[in-house]
Formats: sequence, structure tokens, C-alpha cells
Amino acid sequence: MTRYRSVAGLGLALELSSVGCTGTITGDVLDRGAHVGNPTSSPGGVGSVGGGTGSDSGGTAGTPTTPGSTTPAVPTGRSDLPLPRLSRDEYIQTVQDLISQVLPDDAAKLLADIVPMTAALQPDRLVAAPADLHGGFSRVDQAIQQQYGDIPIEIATAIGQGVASTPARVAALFGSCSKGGTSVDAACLNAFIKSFGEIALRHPLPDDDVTFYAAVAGSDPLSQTDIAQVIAVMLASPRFLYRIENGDQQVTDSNDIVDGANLYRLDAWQLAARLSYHFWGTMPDATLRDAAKSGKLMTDDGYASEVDRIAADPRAASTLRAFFEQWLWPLDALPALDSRVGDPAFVAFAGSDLPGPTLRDHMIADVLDAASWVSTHDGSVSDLLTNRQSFAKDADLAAIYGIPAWNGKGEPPTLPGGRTGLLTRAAFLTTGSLGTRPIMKGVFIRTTLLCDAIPPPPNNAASTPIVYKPNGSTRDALTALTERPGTTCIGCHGSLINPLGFASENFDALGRPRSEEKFFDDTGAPSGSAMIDTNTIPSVIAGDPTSSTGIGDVTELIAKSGKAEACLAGRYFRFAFRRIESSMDEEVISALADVAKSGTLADLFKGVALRPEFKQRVIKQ
Amino acid sequence: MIKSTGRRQFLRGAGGIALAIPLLRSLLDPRDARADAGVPAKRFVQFTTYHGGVWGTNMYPADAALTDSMSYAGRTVKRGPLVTQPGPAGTAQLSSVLSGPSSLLTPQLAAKMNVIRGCDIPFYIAHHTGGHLGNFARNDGNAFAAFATPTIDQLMGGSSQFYTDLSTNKLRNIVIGTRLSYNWEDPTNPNHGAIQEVAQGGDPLTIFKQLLVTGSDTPVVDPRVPIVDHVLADYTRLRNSSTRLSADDRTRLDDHMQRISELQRKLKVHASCPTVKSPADISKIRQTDSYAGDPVLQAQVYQAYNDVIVAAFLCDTSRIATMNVVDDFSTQYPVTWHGDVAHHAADPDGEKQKILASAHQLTFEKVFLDLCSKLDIDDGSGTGKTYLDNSLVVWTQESGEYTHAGQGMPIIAAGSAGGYLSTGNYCDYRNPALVVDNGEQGNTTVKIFAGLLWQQWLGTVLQVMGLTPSDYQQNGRGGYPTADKYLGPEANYQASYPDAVWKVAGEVLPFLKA
Repeated sequence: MTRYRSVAGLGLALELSSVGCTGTITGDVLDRGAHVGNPTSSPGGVGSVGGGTGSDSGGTAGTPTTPGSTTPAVPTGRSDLPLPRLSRDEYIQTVQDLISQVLPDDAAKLLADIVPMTAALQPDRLVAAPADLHGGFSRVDQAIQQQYGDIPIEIATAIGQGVASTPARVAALFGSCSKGGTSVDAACLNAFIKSFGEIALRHPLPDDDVTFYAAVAGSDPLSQTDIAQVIAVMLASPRFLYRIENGDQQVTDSNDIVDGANLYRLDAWQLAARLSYHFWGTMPDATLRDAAKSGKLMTDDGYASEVDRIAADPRAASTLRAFFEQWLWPLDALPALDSRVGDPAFVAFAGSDLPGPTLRDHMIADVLDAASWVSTHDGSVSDLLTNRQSFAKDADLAAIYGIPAWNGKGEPPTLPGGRTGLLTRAAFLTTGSLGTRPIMKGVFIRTTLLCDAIPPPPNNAASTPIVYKPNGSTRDALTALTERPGTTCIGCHGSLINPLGFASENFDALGRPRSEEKFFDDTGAPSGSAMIDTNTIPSVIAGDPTSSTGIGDVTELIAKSGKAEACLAGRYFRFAFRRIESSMDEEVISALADVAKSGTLADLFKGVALRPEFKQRVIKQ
Repeated sequence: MIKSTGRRQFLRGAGGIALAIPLLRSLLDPRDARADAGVPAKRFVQFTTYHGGVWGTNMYPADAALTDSMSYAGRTVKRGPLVTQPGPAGTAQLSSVLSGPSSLLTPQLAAKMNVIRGCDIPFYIAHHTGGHLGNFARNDGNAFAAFATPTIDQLMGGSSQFYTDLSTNKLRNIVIGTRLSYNWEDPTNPNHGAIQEVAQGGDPLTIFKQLLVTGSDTPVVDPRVPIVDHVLADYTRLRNSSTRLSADDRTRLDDHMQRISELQRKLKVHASCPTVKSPADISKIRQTDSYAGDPVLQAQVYQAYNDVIVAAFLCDTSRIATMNVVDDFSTQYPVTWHGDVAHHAADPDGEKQKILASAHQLTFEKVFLDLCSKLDIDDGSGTGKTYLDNSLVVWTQESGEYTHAGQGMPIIAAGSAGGYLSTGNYCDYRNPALVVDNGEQGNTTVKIFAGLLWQQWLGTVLQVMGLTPSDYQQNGRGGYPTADKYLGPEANYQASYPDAVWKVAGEVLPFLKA
């Protein structure tokens, strides 16, 4: 008789078993290590682009810190991202915002033709450090793909044709000199190129640029085709798809982390674009453009006030939500939860909580809503870890939490007592099967919340069978497999991985609290049970002998350790600067970590823009 | 380009969605003449699947089928003819995995196949997607992450020896799925920029739109044509301006300009297949609740991709396709396949091995056989050859007989690549004197013996497809890739892969040269 039980995580157990764990636990954000895990959790599959690690890290970034490697990083001087490309999402958003700004009365109609064309742009990949197996940020994917040669020109061409197709649109864009959109002469065209270019290309155009774009058109009187082509060429310009950051003033580098004459201050327009794309993922708005044009943005007070305004804008919250979704990679890796609804054992296990197709999304939304709530309510990293409010707005997840669904208004309800924060939200407990995945849970906490290194498994990782004993728990089986005395397995599993994962074994594979682990046979009949044990020594800090009775204690230890703040700062650096950090970035990451430890999440997210590195660029010619 | 394809060809080769009605030669585009007169073009397809772990007794024909042998690289290598055996319920089989309906797995098709056992990645690679096509660095943290190499499909795509004529080509490489295909940031300029994943993806309809023009046999001038020259000039202007740019900025501008140049080339292609119909939108199938555990739905998806590949090959708008098949083709253990099946495939009781083998059989039947049968149609050259004859279709798995084992990743192939390859062979290159693994998970019956090098297989493919070794070999070593790092860093592996196997790595694998 088959005994359906907690085997879902054992694949990873095998990957990690027998590992000679030489990783160290440190609090140093630059000493983070590889994420070791299940490669099928984010398969690079048909119909998608994105997910998974490549060998590239998106742009040169000085000397990588070689996480998880025994090779020491060699300082070579700071390098910034070369020629930043708009991400796929940024490009699409920019197209929409531009049309909305310059054709406010007719944008919807034009966009109805244009937006479907953007579907051909495949998503950017989630790029992590080379040794990381999970997570990553799509912004870090700076690869130049053929699609970026093909599709922006196709879209620009369509926009040009769409604009030129009606006199009303031409009039809206060119103004009164177009005589109601019926006649555009050279002077009118030049004026348009200047005004439109400043918005679309995010910088005032020098005369030679104006001359270049004007030359695309024929001679007076300009035809509809001429107008369409000028617009198309401008929107397919390198200044549209990329952010040209050539700086304006040389900056003295007092720390000698940048070679001599290579550090430059961004000019006001370049800084405006960096701000708007960082916080909003789109082009500067009129206010920000005005601040750039007036010089306000280059004053300390003016810059600070713009950062405050931009960070408080709802678009910044959307960007942060994307950050959380990509940082907390188990959300992306969460499988379909209803794949086993035809399995009698699973049906018996799930009972009245049998998942439907939307439960997965509801679980993910619960985590992201919590993160957004904490971020916008002056919460800290510690608050993010310990927040116990339920953001379950639908009955299915609310039932799992055992409380009424939240209607989205007012204060969210509090989760029942056993749920102690982030790590007890259902999305981090659920597997889509009958069994929990304590090793995956442990790897997530160790590598992504604490940024500790776990080296890859040894060659014979899959050579040992898993032995189940009657009425033995998942913990029993994994402990027997991975913590055998005298093996190298125990090096990682015994201290780094298992204790963190076992701590939440008082929740089942649907994220429901449990006091025992229940088993079912292949007909769905109960076939036994096992006791739950969540007592561990989690070693949140290396060598710390403090014991824990469960995930609540683990959460508290993480919150007190300061490691989560440092870890988050490092990941946010990657998101903000769109590259993997080098050893030369230690100062800025440490400073961000200090902000995270002493302030709120909002302080951290805003704080990066207040760093001098955000306003400068290394340009090695 | 429209091929002179007959009614039967369309009905069979199009799989129901790509080519809707038979063409009359009188309706064909005049440019078709080239196809009839010239040397047959070669085409390459590779399917890849996760995990592997199928025991040799399930994957391969019986040892008794290895009737011939020869001494090679310090060992005795063996071969035998591929002969189908009748299976249950109207099926035919070469092995329990390599089986399918006798209407598809015909003796004729078997005679066009090669089944290759004993090509090894000579170091511990475990989970990877890069090994299949030669970027060993794309693995899950086990080795060489910093030493990426372009994959062989991309080397072909950029080679003038493979693409001797691009006049109808709309897409050099069809890349379906991710983490499979890699190339330099500027594919035409090795060592320029970083090696990056070639990301393409999209559903069949999206890919189809890049490859084929439907509904008219009259060339239509793409509205981008007058724009592209100006855009390229704009990039060139910026790149060469006195604007303060970093050297890396200019490199990226160069790389983007190459993409625009490629677009310019493609826009000059007026290939059209007026009778081609767009494939159905199958995107909703993958969103079906039961998809993860429904091989029938999964087959619909991959066969739709196959149809697009066939249409592209028949219309000659592309000649290379790679596809990462990520679904398990099993009703059992959806979402937990990795832990519950793949890593238990070696359990001595054979229970999970049975599930694994069954899933691989379906993959073979629904994906590999499906494409081969659709390509096995007259190519219209008057020689009696089929598109499959002129192609090389390959299926490789992530691991050999144990999940994580890079030794003996099975190679299932079809097509002679225009007569270059001998076909109908079951080849076994393993050396039973070199034991790599005596058994795992308590299973003492499945032992792994060292074979020849995976690099030799990849080099063989490149030669088969028309590239010369000097195009891709470096460091005085044979095969591909030849980076120093890929020699096998572990002492015990050096014993398994002695000098003799490295010395022959640049040769075509034994028994395969026609």
C-alpha cells in the first residue's frame, strides 16, 4: 500500500545530501552564497522567457563577489551598468505614458492598436548572481536580444502611422503651426522635434539631433508619410530604448574606488530619468521634467523634495511590489495548487480546503499585500517579518487562515495565534502536494532572508535511498537521510538548512496548522500519523546555541539578528542599480543596511536615491 | 519561399494547422525554383528534456542488438541495426521508451534513426540545461558558471557554411523555451560583449508570426523598411559622436546595431507561404487547471510547436529549432515530479522507474516521433528524399541512467543530414572496464561505465551540419566546447576519460559517418 506523505521536498534533500558544507554563516551581505534548490521550480519552459539563471549577470559589474565561491574577489575599481536598457515592462509603460501625455484626448484609441503589439516582447529574465539558483531581478537582465532590434522599430512605425493618420492627432502634437493638422512645414516640424524630443527622449535635443530627425522628412509640404517617419525614427532612437548617461561634471572620488577621471555627475535630465525609472518604471512626468529644466533637481533641497514626491507616488508602490515578488522567489516558484484535485489521497488530505485554480494567486497576493502594507505604514524590516495581519480577501485563503476574509477596508484582521509573521503565510508553506518541503523552506530562509552561503551538493548527492518508517514524520525521514553522523551531509543540513525548515512543520502542505502529520493511502483512507516536532537550534547567527520551539522563535531571532536588514539591502542594491554587486559596492550596501536597521522600509527604498552613487556614473572611456 | 509540396505532404506534414490546402505548382512563387535545383538544405532540431534517469534496460534496445564492434579509443565500441519489434496494441518498439504506434514508428523510420549510448559530460554537472547544446556553464551551481560558451545551434545559425543562403530566412534560430541557447551579445562578433541566453520564446502563434507571412503570395513591403536605415544611422551617429560614452557603452551600441542590421536583412526577405494558416492559439491550454498532469494537453502544445517548425522548414524561413520540453508527460505526481519520481527513479523496487520510463515513452511518441513523421515527406527535389532525410532531429535528456549523472545522456536522433550520417544504428560507446558509478540508491544492477566525450558528440553534430572543426575548435583540442575548464577537473574522472578519448574528440563518432 502506498503511503502518501511528505516527500515533496526530498528531491532537494537528495540534491543537498552528503554535501561537504564549507559555507560559513556571516552577517556580511557581500558574503552571500548560492541558492541551492530544485531546478524544476522555475523551469525555463515553453512559452516563457524568464526565470532561471544564466551564465551572464547582465552587464559588467566590476569584480563579482563570487558568492559561494572560495575564490576571493579582487577589487578592480567600481564599474557601473553600461548603457542601461529599459526593461521590457519599462519600455511598454513608457510607450503608454508617452502617448497618454502627448495625446491625452486620443490616447486610448491609439493605444488600443499599439498595446497588443507589445505582447510580442518576451519578458526579461530574472537574473541573479551567477551562483544563485533562485530569485533574481528582471531589471538586471540587460541582454540585447534580437527582439529589441525588431519590435521597438515595429511599434515606433505603428505609432508614427497612427499619429499621422488623422489631422486631429497631428494638430495635438504639432500645435497651431500645423494649421489644424493639415499642413506641417519645416519650421513647424523643427519646433515639434524639439518639444516632442524633450519628452520622448527625456532630454533637450541639441541642434544636430533636431537636424538629423528633420532630415528624415522630405521637403515642404510634408506628407503624412513624412510625419509618420519622423515620429517613428525618434521613437526607435537609442535615446528612447536606452538611457544615455554621459554625465556633466567630473566628480572627485575621495575613496579611490573609481579610477582617476572616470566618475561623473549625471546631469539633471539624466538624473530625472534615473529617478523615474527606478521608482516608477517609466519616463519622468511633467513635474520632474520641470525640476530638471529649472535646475531645481540639482539642488539638495530640490532633489530631496522630488525624491519624497516620487517615492510617495502610487507608482512607486507598484514598483516595490515587483521588487518583493522577485526577491521572495518562493512566490514565483509556487506551483499550481490544484494539480492533484483528482488524486484521492490529496482530496482526503485537503478536505474542505481542496484548492481551486485561484488559491495560488490569493496566497501570493497575501504576501505582497502584507509587504505593501508594512512599507506604506512606516514599517521596518522587522515589522515585515513579524506582521500578523491577514490580507486574505477571498474565502479560500481565509478558510485556511481560519478567519473571515478581509474586505480591503480598514485595518486587516489579525492572524490566529500560531501564525507569527511572514514565514507562516500560506505561500511559504504550501507545496501543491500532500507533503511539506522543509528543506526548501530552510534554503529560502538561509539564502534569501539571511544571505548565507550554501555550497552545491556533492556528486553522490542522489545515491542514498530515503527510508520511511511506519508513522515516522517527514522530519524523521529527512533527518535520517541528511543528518547521519559521520557523513558530510550533516554539515549543511544539520545546522544551515534543516533547523530553519523544521521549525514550521506545525503547518501542513496547504499552510494549515497541524498538531500531527497525517498520512493517507492511495484510496484516500487514513493510514497513520506522526508527531510534530518543531524544536531546533536554528543558528541564525553562526555558532549561536539558542534553541527555538518553532517558527515564531526563529522569526524573532532573525528579526533581532540584523541579518535580514543587511540581506535585504544587498538585494535592493541589485534592484536599484540593475547589476550584481562587486566588492567595490560594499560601502553603499553597508550604508543601505544601516538605513534598514535604524529606519523603515520606506527609508531604505527612498534612501538609495539619496546616496551619491545614485547620482553619479563611472564612465571609463 | 514555397516548396513544391504535394497533397499528401501537406496533410501529413502540416499536422493540421500549418498548411491548410494543397498547393499546385502553378501557384507557387517563382522563387521556388531554387529549392528544386539546388543541393538540399540541412536542418537541425533538438528537443531537450529534464532529469533523464531512465535505466538502459528501458531506454535502449537489448544488448543482443549490438552485433558489430570495433576497437576505438582504447575500448571496444559496438553497434547494431535498429529493428522495430511488434509491441502491444498496434505499437512498434525499439525499446520500452522508444516505442509508439506502428503507423509512426515504422521500420522505414527506424532505419532513419540513430540511438546513441555512451556519450558523457566528463565531470559532475547534475542539473543543467546547458549541457545539451554545449554551454556547460548553465548548470545549477555545480561547475564553471563563469565559463559560458555559445551553444551549437547558435554556432550553426551564424555560420555561412550552414546557412549558405539566407534569401528566404526570417529567423536563423527558433528558440522555444529558456536556458537552452546561448551566444555572444553580438552573434556576429565572438568575444564582443558577454555570452548571454538567447531569449525568444513565445507561444506557437507568436513564433509563427516571426516566420511566416500568410494570406498573400504578393510580397508586401514592410512599413519598417524606410525607417530602419534612419534608425541605424541614428545609432551610428551616437556611437561615433563625441558624446562622452564609456567603452562598454559603445560596445553595447555596436551590439544593438548588429541587431538592426539583422532586421534589415530580414526585412529584405519576401518569403511567403500563401496557403499557410496561422496556428490555433494554444495559450489557454497551458492555463488549463489539469495541464500539469495531462499528457494529452501537453501533447497538443508541443505538437503545435512542431507544426510551426515544420511550416518554417517547408517554407524555408528557418532551418534551426531548439525546444526545451519541460512538461513531464505523466498523469502522476504533477508539480512534485522532481522529488517524487526523478530522484526515486533508481529505487530498487522499480516503481518510480516505471513511471519515469512511461513518461519518456510518451515524450518520444508525442514530441519526437510526431515531428519526425511530419518531416518525413518528399522534399520536392525529385530525388525521393524527405525533409527528414536532409535534417538532423535530436532528443537529449538531462541525465543518464541516474538523475544527476552526466554520463550516458541518451541521444535519440533521426535524419541523415543530407546523407552525411549513416542511420539505422544503435551505438554503444561505453567501456565496461571504466566504472564511474557502481549503483545508486541501493540499486546495484544499474552501473555507469565511462563512454566517449559529449564534446565529441557536439563536434560531430557541427560537422554533420556543415561546419569545419577550425570554426569551433580551440586550444588544440577536438570536439566542442574545447575550453580548458571542461576537461574534467576531478581526479577520479581523469581516470575515466583517459587521453585516448580526448585524442579522438574531434572526429565524427564511430559508426556514424556515411
